[in-house]
Amino acid sequence: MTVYAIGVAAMFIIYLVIGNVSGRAVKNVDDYYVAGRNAPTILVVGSLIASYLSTVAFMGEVGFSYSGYLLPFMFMYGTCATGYFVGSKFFGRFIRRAKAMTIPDYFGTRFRSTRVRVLAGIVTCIGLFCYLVSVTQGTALLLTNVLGVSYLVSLIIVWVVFTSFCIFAGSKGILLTETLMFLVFTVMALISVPYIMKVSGGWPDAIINSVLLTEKPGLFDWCGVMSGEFNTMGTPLDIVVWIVTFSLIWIVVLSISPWQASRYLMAKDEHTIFRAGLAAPMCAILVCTLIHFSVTTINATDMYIDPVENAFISTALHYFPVWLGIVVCGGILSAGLSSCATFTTLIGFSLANDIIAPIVKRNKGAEYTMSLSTSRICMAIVGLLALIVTYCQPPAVMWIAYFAATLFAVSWAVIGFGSIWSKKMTEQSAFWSMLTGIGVFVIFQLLITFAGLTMPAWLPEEFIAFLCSWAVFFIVNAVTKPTAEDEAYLKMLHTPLPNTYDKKEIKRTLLYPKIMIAFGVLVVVGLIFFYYMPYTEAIAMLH
Amino acid sequence: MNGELFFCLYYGGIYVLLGIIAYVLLNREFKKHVRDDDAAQDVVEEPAAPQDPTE
Repeated sequence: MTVYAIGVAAMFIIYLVIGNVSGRAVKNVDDYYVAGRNAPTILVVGSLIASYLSTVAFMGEVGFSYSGYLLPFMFMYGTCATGYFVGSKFFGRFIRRAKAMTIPDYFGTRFRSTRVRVLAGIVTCIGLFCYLVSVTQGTALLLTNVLGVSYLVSLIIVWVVFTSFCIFAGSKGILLTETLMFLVFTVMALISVPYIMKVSGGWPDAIINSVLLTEKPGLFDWCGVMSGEFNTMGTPLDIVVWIVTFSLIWIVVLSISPWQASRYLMAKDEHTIFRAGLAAPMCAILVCTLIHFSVTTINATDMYIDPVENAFISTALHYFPVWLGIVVCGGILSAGLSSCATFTTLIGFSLANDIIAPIVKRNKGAEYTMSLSTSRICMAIVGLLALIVTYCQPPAVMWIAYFAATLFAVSWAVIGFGSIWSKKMTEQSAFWSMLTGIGVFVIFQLLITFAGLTMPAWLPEEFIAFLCSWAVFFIVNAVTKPTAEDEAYLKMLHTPLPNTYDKKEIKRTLLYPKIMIAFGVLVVVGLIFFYYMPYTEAIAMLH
Repeated sequence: MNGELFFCLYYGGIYVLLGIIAYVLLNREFKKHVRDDDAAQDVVEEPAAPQDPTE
């Protein structure tokens, strides 16, 4: 057994022990679904970041940057991370007031509608299942690299660990392990950067050498590689459209998607939500900027890593000291496992709570008792399905996840924000706008995949789906009227929780935006010094 | 200005802007409600006017 295998095994054992211990603390449905609604800021931040930065981030997206599109990705990433604050201020705090168990549960209660709840539950299950497949693929690929075993064996190990964990642990366990894993991969990012840069000659030579590469021209340009065999994204216009489209999609996803917004349901109070919404983007930006910039410089040493998803892991295994290799692999593995557990849990919750329960229509007491055990059975089934689909589906870690994200953005953007901010929104407009968004998007995807339809660069299908959803929202709102119950519920949502205006809490919360301003200034100065100056030096050499 | 310099300014600048917007939004909301709460408390705590014994 190699030293890497021992490190990975230790990680798995810690993970399972935490899950088992926290699982014993689960006493009721509230504990299981929303961690007793008592989570402090650090746990909410840890959970927000860990469920977002999965193997999709450390393998798929890092691979995308490594392949030649660092700055386009960072443009998109920098913009979309603002979605955390948008979500906390304009969505998260309100669903916390609604005391829902899941986001579809909130939609169903807001409009007193079973069909809205079931449809939102179906979107959750389909979208998160795609994301789960993508993350499981990434984690299994990593394990294959580290342990040197077959893909199937890796897949089974990953499946056993995350399924058994989330069946027993529930939200409390997920929150604890996600925070632990967030700390692990933040430390990993901070420690590994100088080692990665050293591989290609240290700073600033690593950046200069990468810019000078003639095989990948434009590796550090704003639009990435636009010529030669490594150009996979087309023209600068395609890049701009890609940045704008996915920035908007991910802002919506980080604001209202079930695996992000559901974290706010667990928060102790509204101040926790605001603080988490401001701290999370800073942490995410710090980790991702360091990793993406440094891994892209690996091109100067090896530009042919295949698949590109292995760029970071391959570097860790070949060039890092063993202890750091274990930390890096453990960190990425942590990120992958925490996301797998989160998605399996959320799908299980939604399947049991938002699809099966309303359809079966049991009486309240029986429904609650069934819900906990049904959730666990649902999670086991979801885990098994994910194992089968992941094995059959060829690896495409980043693009499957982006498909799932788009699904949520086009179907939930209108209902998500409309349910809080529109006085005219009715049950009918909620249902039909959601159905139109998802329906139009899926039809376009089928036409593109099977009928060879090509969309112009300036009009992506995601925008068409979103506009259709928006149009249906306006049309149906014009011909229907909200009921008195709708208006009363909306009024309740806009009534603050008791300690929201406590002066001591306010003072602490207002510190976070100030820290963010200082953080932004430091980022500008750091980028100009560590990236832009070596970049211009290299460009001068080229001319 | 070239695209790369714009990136440096944009990538950090967006967080300076977000910080300012967040501060303004939160501060405005907090101030408004604290003022309302204080006003409501003053109304409760205001002593009742002494009754005229001749009435």
